[in-house]
Amino acid sequence: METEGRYTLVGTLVLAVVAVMAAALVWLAGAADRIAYQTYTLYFEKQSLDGLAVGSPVKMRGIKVGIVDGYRFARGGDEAVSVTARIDEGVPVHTGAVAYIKRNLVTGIAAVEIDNGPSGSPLLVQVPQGERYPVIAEGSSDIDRVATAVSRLSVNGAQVLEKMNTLLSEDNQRALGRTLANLDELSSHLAANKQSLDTLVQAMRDAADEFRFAGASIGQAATRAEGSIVGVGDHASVALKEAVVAMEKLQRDATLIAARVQQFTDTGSLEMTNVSRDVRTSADALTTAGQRLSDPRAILFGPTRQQLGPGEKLP
Amino acid sequence: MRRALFVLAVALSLGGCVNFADPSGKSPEVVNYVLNDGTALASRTPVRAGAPLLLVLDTTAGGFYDTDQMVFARSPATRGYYQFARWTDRPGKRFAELMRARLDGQGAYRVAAAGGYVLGDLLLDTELIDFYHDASSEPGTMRLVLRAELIDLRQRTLLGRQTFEHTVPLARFDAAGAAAAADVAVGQALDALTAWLASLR
Repeated sequence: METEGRYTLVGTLVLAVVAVMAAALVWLAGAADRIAYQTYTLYFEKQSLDGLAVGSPVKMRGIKVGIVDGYRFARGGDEAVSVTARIDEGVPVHTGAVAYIKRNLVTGIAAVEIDNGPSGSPLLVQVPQGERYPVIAEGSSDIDRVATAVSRLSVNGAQVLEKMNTLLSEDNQRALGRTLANLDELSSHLAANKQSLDTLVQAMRDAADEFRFAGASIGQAATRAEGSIVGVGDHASVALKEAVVAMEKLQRDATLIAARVQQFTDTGSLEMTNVSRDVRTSADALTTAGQRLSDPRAILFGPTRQQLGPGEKLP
Repeated sequence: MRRALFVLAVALSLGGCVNFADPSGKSPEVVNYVLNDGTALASRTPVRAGAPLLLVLDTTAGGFYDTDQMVFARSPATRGYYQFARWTDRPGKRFAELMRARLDGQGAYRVAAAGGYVLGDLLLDTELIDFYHDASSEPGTMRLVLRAELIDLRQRTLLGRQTFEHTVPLARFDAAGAAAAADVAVGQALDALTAWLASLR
């Protein structure tokens, strides 16, 4: 009698526990259904979703307002990824809001950051045709803008370097070298032919004089022309003399600079030789001193008879 | 304990003042010898116009010889220092000074020490390879071996390289005799060196 009564009690308790568990499951499922959120679809085409996972936070001004519910490749090409985000119902998402991926630089963990649209704009509730939820457009982060600027800067820098490289190309260097050589040759010739140029100018002046005498009968016009020719000759003479002086000075300066550079090089080389010798001599002297100190007995008690030199004696 | 340490410290301090080497106070005195040019020029010749500027580097010497101690050798493979005789200057440095004086007095070159801001035409580099009293027999000989290089600084080329060996017998078997023979050996080396330089002009 007692045994049967215990079975009844155990069965009753088991049934009660099962009923409580069933009630709990029903209650939890119902509560989950009653959690208030709004779902949006975000398409990311330009940004990488590396570090983003289901459950990753969706933030607005740095505050978590929802989670990533799922993602998949969108149909229609362009390798765009469709991300479904659940955002708390009380968070107003305005028309014009954009979303971008914000990634921790150290951990690499990504989150979706929503830059809300103007506060005066209407709430984003309209569902586009063919979509299940309202769509938040893709934006760009500050890091993307910085990266774009850096990329543009690097491209510009590369172009500048390329132009400098072109400017300093071997062809240009050779051309510059040839120009300097020609300039040097020109100055040398001008300096060497200075006397000839003076003679030429003098000859021109003489010719002008003869022309003036011979053309005295031609009249006043011919006289004015003759004066002009003399003037041109004088100006050319002055210009040539100044050019010759400038070229000679240029040649002297170049020679002086070359000599000074050579002198600087030679002096530096000798100084280095002396310094290295001094270092070597000091090292040798240190070695010798060390060898002497290696025999403390000789330092304390003086030399032995075997160490004495020729003709030396101990008292 | 503290008193024992104090006594020990005082004893060590006083011990540093004791000369163990000369308890009798009759140790021989160290004599310093001056190395000279044994065949110094009787008169100086003025430097001729347009003479090349010769830079003379300090003469280098091996570690054993680069000291103010006089060196002797009782056998070809051994060397030792005189204990009571020294040079007033290291032989290498002193030899360079004597060499500059000799070349300066001949007038063939404008001589200057290498280094500084002087831009030279030629560079003379010398090394004292051996410089010792050969005491394998009495009274022995003074041996000097010198190697010299002349470099054209304008063309950066080696004009010549020569080794000079001189052996001078000693008059007496001691440091004074070695110093006197060393003067003669230096004079002979400088004679040979200047003749060699003249042959390269």
